[in-house]
Amino acid sequence: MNTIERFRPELHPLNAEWSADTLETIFSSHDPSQPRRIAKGRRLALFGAATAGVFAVGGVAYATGLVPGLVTDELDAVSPSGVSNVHEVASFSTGSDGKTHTFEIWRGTNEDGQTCTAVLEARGNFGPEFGGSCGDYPTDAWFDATSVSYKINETPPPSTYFVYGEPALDGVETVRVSGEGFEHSVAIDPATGGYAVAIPELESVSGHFATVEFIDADGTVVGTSELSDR
Amino acid sequence: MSNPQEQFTELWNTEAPHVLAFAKRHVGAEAAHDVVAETFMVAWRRWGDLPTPPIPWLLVTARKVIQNRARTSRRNRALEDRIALLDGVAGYAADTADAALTRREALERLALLDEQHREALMLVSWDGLTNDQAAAVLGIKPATFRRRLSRARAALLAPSSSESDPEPRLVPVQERS
Repeated sequence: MNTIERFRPELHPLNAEWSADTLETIFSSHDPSQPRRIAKGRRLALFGAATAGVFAVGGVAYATGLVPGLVTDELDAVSPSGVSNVHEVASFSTGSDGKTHTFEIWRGTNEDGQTCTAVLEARGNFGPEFGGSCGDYPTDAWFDATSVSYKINETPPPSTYFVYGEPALDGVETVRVSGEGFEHSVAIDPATGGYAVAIPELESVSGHFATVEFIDADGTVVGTSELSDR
Repeated sequence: MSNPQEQFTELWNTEAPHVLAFAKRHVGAEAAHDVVAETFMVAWRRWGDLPTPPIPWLLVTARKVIQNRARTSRRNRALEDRIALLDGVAGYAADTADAALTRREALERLALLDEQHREALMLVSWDGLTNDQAAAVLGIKPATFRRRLSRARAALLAPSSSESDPEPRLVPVQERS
């Protein structure tokens, strides 16, 4: 028995009540006799191997439809099932710690129909850094928070909230995100059709906290979306 | 032959405690139950596709669930947090005079390893996986895993790093796939 095996955790039986409740929830969530969705084939063009220090992404790669391998790896890591239709949504920048940090947002759909998002800081303090998640999130306007990377013995830097999305409405050229104490407008990225904007004024969110307005070239609000923490 | 629900319940009774122990050392006891529930929810949706034995697949899925729950950019847990997580799940063995490390020393050194190497050790030593199964959980080649495991063991028993090290982690030499 080696040094670590000596401290192998003892397995404890599950709490019977929790176990029964959880199994009931699981069984009621899915009927295995029903056919599953047929998985879509992965249609990704890999950008190739990338390592810290030499990783370079930019508009050219996105415009030609290439997806960095690190992005597909990240989405595979956070999704229980395969992710397809991976594409860039937009990017945004923050001015944390006296430097400009740029975060790119990538999105795909997994075989369970969830929206999966990866937030990439290609030039993080210690190389490429990711955050990612999958869920039943709206695609026209959603939010998250991120921070720059830091060493384990440092005080964590503050997180910055950001709003992003891909409007489904025709003719949208600008998006305005407003809430108590802030209002930001951002143009739709013509290369991707998406948008992303940092909301540095937000320190936390609770309940409804922002309205997203989709605006056309004439300045007319053609649609709105409400953002709430849930 | 038993029906799918009976078969799944048997899998649950057998493997859920293993997945729970795995989850506890990553997210703590409170969130670990949610990870187990979500992992087996996925398993039920994919019932019929699960490999035999199912435990590597379950741990792969649990890892993804855990990563998916971290909605903000990936962060390294503070050293004290990592020690606390390990301390919360590790078993107890007598600290005999001939033991290489006491429990406290072993957990501190585990916590000082970078995540990749710590997880390699844990999957084999605590989760009881074979090298090939652990490699599958981590998504790397078996040969790469064996090198990683060997370096992790060496790093674990290496002399402590200097207290003045601004990045107090025991990071083995760079591995090549």
